[in-house]
Amino acid sequence: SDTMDTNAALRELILKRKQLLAEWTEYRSNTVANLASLNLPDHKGTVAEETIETIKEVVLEEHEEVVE
Amino acid sequence: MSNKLMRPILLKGHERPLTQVKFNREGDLIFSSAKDYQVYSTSNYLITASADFSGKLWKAETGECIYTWNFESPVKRVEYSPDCKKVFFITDHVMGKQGKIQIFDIDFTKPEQESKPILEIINEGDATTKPTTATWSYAGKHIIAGHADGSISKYDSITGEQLEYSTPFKKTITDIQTSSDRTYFVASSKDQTAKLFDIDSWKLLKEYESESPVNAACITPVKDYIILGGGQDARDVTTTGGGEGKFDAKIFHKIFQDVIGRVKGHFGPLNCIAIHPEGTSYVSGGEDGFIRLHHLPKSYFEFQYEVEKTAEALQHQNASSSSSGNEQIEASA
Repeated sequence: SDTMDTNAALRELILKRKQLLAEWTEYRSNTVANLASLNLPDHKGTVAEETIETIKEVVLEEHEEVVE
Repeated sequence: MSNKLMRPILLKGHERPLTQVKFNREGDLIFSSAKDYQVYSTSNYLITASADFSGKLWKAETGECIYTWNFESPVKRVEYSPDCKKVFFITDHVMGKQGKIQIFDIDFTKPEQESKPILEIINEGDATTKPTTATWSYAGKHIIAGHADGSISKYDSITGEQLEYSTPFKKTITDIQTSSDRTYFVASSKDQTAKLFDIDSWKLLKEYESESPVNAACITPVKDYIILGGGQDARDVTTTGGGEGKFDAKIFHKIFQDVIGRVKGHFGPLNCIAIHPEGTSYVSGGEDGFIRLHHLPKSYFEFQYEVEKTAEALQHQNASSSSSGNEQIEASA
């Protein structure tokens, strides 16, 4: 019966999360629609992007030592 | 998510505790300020607020001071409006002077700026209700302020009228940062919590609980997370002894309110946090005088709850089934 309880609790948690996600998605789509209806100027502007160099750091080995 | 995945870049340019960190809009410059200064900037200009009763406008590139505003008390905070045409300063409630939010017109094309504010929002109460932090809402329509008593308020930025007021926190508000579209915001407090509010409805949307006072919190673009940080004040640390772990930045899932990651590093409380405009990295500034720039790892972007995966899969399925539906109509036409 322990497994049954755990399963029930897990099921409830998943359903709760599903509901929270649905609520959030609805909230955001309403807010975005409201904002769009206000026809506000976009102040973000055009951002000129330029990638100059990508540096990749690879850690080959790592030690941790406790020094007394 | 752990520190092994994230190797921050440490910047040490300050001798004193950090008070604010900011990215410019392009996200390629970081501006920082140490004790007694607040900072706000675009790439070309920078405005600082100082405990020496002044606000200053600087050319970011050359460090040349273009203009100085003078106030009657220390200046705690400064921020441009989203269109960069206005700026507010928060002045402290000390020495018989009332705490104020003062709004000025600003024109970067001229060296001379307006010395008189176009609007003053005055704290009518005592020092316990003074504004401690503030930010602009979408299109600069409102000013959202946090106060020393744990209350938050919304003012019309043209008339100064108080449109909303509530006290959702037990202690002083330490930070207020909005979403990228400035329609909702996260407020953090010394009462060890951060909370998310909608600007229009003033509704409490979410709550995040920490184990120590929260000094800063931000909403991440791209992913639905909240990054917050803080820690016991230096004077309390020695008495509790449990400094370890309290200075972590915590990553919460914004919607489900769980802690999903911790980032260690600072040797003292985190005083400020800023997220890169594209959501690719974040900086934190500490009481220890260090700035830590963290490039967010792959796992940060890939992390999803099962329900998020399912919802995303369903969305893809709907999108593809509706598009295949169109094809059928076209084929039969």
